[in-house]
Order: sequence, then C-alpha cells, then structure tokens
Amino acid sequence: MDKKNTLVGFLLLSPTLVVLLIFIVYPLFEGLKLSFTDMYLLKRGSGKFIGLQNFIDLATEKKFLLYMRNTAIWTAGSVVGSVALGIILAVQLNKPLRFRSVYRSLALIPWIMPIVTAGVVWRWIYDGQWGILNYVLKQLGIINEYKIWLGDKHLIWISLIVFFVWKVFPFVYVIVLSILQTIPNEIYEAAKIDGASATNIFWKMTLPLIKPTVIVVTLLLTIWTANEFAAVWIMTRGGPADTSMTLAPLVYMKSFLFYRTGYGASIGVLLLLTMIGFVILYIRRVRVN
Amino acid sequence: MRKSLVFFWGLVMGLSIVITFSFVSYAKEPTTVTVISCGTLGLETIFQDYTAKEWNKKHPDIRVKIEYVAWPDVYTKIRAYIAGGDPPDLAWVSEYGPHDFAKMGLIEPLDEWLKDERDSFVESTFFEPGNCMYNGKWIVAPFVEVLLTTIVRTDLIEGLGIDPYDIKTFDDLVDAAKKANNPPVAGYNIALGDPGWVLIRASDFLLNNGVESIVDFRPEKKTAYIEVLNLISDLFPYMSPAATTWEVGGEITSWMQDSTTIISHGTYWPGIIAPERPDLGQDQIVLIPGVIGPQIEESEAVLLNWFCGYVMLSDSKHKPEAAKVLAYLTSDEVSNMFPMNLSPKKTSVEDKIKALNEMSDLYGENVGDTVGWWLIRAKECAEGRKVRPAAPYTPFAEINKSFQDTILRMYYKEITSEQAYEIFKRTVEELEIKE
Repeated sequence: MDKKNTLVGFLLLSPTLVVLLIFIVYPLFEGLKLSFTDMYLLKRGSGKFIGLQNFIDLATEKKFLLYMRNTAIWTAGSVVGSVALGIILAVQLNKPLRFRSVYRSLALIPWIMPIVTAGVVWRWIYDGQWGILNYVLKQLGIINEYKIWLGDKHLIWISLIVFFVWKVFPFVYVIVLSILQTIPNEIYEAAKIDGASATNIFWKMTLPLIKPTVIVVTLLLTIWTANEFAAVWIMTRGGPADTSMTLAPLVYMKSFLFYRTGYGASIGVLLLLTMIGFVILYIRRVRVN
Repeated sequence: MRKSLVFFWGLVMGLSIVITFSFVSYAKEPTTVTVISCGTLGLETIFQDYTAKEWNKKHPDIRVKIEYVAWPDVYTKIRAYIAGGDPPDLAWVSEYGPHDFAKMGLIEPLDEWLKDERDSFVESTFFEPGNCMYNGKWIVAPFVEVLLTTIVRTDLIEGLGIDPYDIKTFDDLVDAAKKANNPPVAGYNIALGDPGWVLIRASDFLLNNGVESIVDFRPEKKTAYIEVLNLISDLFPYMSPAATTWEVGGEITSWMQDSTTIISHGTYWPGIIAPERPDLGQDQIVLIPGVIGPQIEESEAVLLNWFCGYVMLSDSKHKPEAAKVLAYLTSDEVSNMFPMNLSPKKTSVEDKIKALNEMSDLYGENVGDTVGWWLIRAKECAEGRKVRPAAPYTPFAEINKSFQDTILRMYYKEITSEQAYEIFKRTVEELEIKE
C-alpha cells in the first residue's frame, strides 16, 4: 500500500518535476557549464573549457569590489527599508481606522504597478532639471538648489533604495497584516488592562508574534533584491560610470550587450553561490515555522 | 462486409478530400517576412504601417509583418529571436552596431541579394558606405541618412552677443556656450547618460580635429585627441548637471523646453520636434556645421553622418522573399515617403518634400514643408565638407560604455583629459588582447 502510495505520489508530482527539470535544473546546469568556458559570441571558435579562469578574472577585475559593495548596499538598504516600512504600515492599518479598507487597498498600488512603468515614472520624479521632487523640496525650503538624484554619487543609493522600498514594501505589509489579523484582540486588550504602553505592546507582543514570518519575508526579499535586474537597469543602467552597478545588471551587460557569455555566466554563478546561503536559511526557517 | 467496404471507401475519400484541401490551402499560404523596426515614434509607425500595407496589397504571396522594438533593445532582441529558433528576416540597425553582428556571422551579405540596387547606394549623393560594409561586403541596406549639425536656438541668444554663423572652431563653441549659459538654461548639452550620444558627439569633434574615431590611438594623433577631450571638459560647466543622467530623449526635451541653447543633432530630429513644438521654426533655429579643431584646415572639415538601414539575418528562412521586400523598402519611392530624414540615395530633398506634402492624408497638412526647411539647411551644411562617418570598430558596445565612463569620470573631476586618454587607451588595448 505504501509503495503504491509513493508511486501515485511520484506520478502526481511528475508534471511539476518535468517542468522544474526543463526550466530550472537544465538552464542552471547549462549556466554552470557556460561559466567554465571562454564563450564570447564575437569570437569564432570560442566556448572552450577554461576551468576557473572566468572566476579568477572576475575576482581580479578592478571594479569587482565596487560591484560587490554596490550589491550589498542595494540589497541591505532595500530589504531593511521595505521590511521596516511594511511592518509599520501593517501595524497601523491593523488598528480600527475610518476608511481602513481604502488605505489597505491604496497601499497595494506600488506592488501592482509593473516595475518598468514605475521605474520610468520615478526617473521623471528624480530628474535633475524637471523632476517634481526637486521642485517640491525647494518650495518647502529643504534644498537650495536642484539635486541630481540619479547622477550624484552621494545621492544615488538613497534615491534607488527609496524607489525600490516604495515598490516592494506592500509585499511585506500584506503578509505581516495577514499574520496580525490572526492574533486575537483579547491579548492586546489584556495587555492594555495590565498597563502596557503602545511601545511595550509592539516590542514585547506584536514583534515576537510576527517574527517568524518577518524572518521568512526578509530572506525572500534578500534573494529577490540581490537578483533584481529591472529596477537598477531602468533607473540608472548601473551608472553613472558603474556607481550603481550591481551583480544582476552586470550579468546582463556582460552577457547580452558585450556578448561575453562565459564571463557573464560566472558572475551569475557567483550571485547564485552568494544567495545559496540565504536559500538554506530560508528553507530551514520554513521547516521550523 | 458491404458496410465495411462502404466505410473503408468513405474513409479513403474523406481523407483524400482533407489532404487535398490541406495542400491547396498550404500552397496558398503567403510567406511572411518579419521586419524588426525601431521606428516607434508617431510618424515612423505611420510610415511603416503604410508601406507594409501597400506592399501586402500588391503582393498577396509575400506578407510583410512589422514588429516594433525600441532602439536600445534591438540587438539583444534579435539575438533572443535567433536563439529561440524564430529569427526575423530583416531588421533596422544604426551606427556601428551591425559590425558586431557581422563578426558573429549573424548578418547575410547583401551583395548577391540586392544586385542592381546595391550600386545605387554606392552612387548616392552623400553616402560613404564604410559602416554599411564589412570585409568588403554590403551588410546594411540604408534607407535614411542622418547628418549631424550644430543647432542654435536664436530666440535664446538674443542680446547675448552671439552670432551663430561665427561659431566655427572649438574655441568659438566654448565661448558661445559660456555666453549662452544662464542656469537653468544651459549653454550647451550632451546627454552624458547615453553612450551612443557621447560617442556621436565625440566622434564629430574627433573627425574635425584629424582623429578617425574614439579608438584612433596613433601616437601622432594623441595631441589632437586630448584637445578634443579638453574641449568636452571645457564645455562641462555650461551643461545642465542633469545631463549626466539623460539619454538622448532628455537632451531633446531640454532643448524643446527652452532649457538648452546649443546642441548637435541629426537631421532625424525634425520629426520629433515638429509635432511637439510646431512654433519652433526657421525664425528660432539656426543650423550650422560642426566646429573644427586646431589640428585641421577648414578645407579638411567633416560633416559626420550615419545611417539607419536594414540587415538581413543569416538565419532568415525566407531570404529570396526578404530580398524583394528589402529592395522595396530601400527604393527611392519608399525612402521619399519617410518623413524623418534625408534619403541616402540620389533623390533630391525637393523631391522628398513634394512627396511628403502629397501624403497629407497620412501625415497631415504640409509635413514636407514643416520638416523640409531643416533638411535643406542640413544639406547646405554639407557643402564644401566631406560627409562621412567615424571609422567603425568592434566590440562596439563594450568600447562605447568604457568611453562614456571615462568622459563621466572627467565630468566628476576624477581624472584629467590626459589621464582619460591613457586610461581609455589601456582599456581598449586590454579588450583587443581579450579578442
């Protein structure tokens, strides 16, 4: 009976397994294979096995540390910002407010908007000559002169991260809110009767209750953000002069614009290896949950 | 038994009818020639859709299907189509990008396919075929030619003591940019966020100082090259700081919004400007040829040009049909209907203006006149000058990106012109070694 069940289980799983094999495992294997070759589409006869040479070239590239640092700043900034904003909003919108459902729906708009559309809109918002952000900040007396948000090395990261946080915080907010809605209101009322302050309630009750979910969401966001291509590419194309180049757009640039597919694949593999740690943590956390 | 026989023959007859009709319908199925087009602007799509419709009306056996793709994505998309086993037959290309493709063997040489039409490109009015050729063979059939002229907004320089016709040398340009600079109105602009435009503008300055291209590192040209980098550097203070983030559209928008006084652009431009700012005409705009550097005489001056043309993909499954469509799309008749630019062939600007004016149903009233004065003036700028592109090179995109990064580092004052020259030269040499 057990054997039969196992067989049926495998049979039922087989369509999914086939899809995974074709669309995940095979491309992954090909990508790995490619990263050990000198494949360069402009060079006839390229594609020979060169061992770890691509990885050595990558590690010794002048801008390697810059790319790694950029990826770390981009990922850490975006994840911390989105998680913090998502939690704050979820907690606020879990309170009995007038028009609460309207606010809850409005908060989802950035998540629904396609990233390309959002990126183009934000590029105009940030434009150094006509951007509305400069206009508003100057009218409010916060800045004296227009800032080049996407061209100034000191402002570029904050600008990119604010955009991406705006784009992805609804994901955190929706999930955290759904958890908050499962916590019985009586617990909060009891805490209030016992004299707990709002701050204490948040840190001592709410946060521990949502912590397992927040950890999972944070891990997922970390993996997604580090792999995010479109947001960086649409906003800055990694510029000016690679100031905002992270590993994901770098893979695209090297592979598809410069045709160095072997080298590009090695950057992809590096990104994959970096992310595997987070994936393991994520899987463990899901099991614990 | 009888029933079985009837059933059997019925089956045979039925199958025969189905097979016969399948063959008939298969035989009548027209061949579809897919054309990747980057003409995504309003007038361009009108033109493309119209020419495709006209062709399809006259040729039921070969159907033209246009697929629109944005310029920055065209080479990547074509590669993706090829990799997916569904290659397009023809595609728009521009500048020097097709040389990378030719090197990869992705482009079909056109000499055999175009035959007679090929010669008409060689004999054209302005055209130097250098960038349309690879290893001595035609790889691109051009349908428009673009001339780079310097464009001055006379309404913005009133009372500033600038005579646009006196802007002839590098020093004159810096002087005019300085006088015209009145923030937030910039004296001069280059879209520094756009590697293609940084390249085009630098190529214009380089050619007019005796340097063949951005990768011309001949020792005897070093001084001339650095003079060009100094010129760009001298122009930085009079540019909008936002230009560091602009692609070409940003620069054009700035000019249209009265925030930039002097820029250099192609004759491709009137089709973009005219619909947006119909009030800007000959009274507000002066077109002059590019400035020349200290290393050349006036008689050696160059007017930079480039093309937009079609390539045929090597993997095309319908080459004979694609060749017929190609001959039509690059014919005088069709070139004259394109409202954005000069024709590369031996047709006069006047013919084009007339042809466009006659197409009021399609483009609106007097489009020929609206854009025609610009084309005439651009052609006048070519008088007495060699009209030619910068020398081609590969790998195109990688070198351009590196050049743009170098210029940006100069903008941020991280490096001097001399350092920029050495750094960029080393980068290109390293790329050549990797090749």
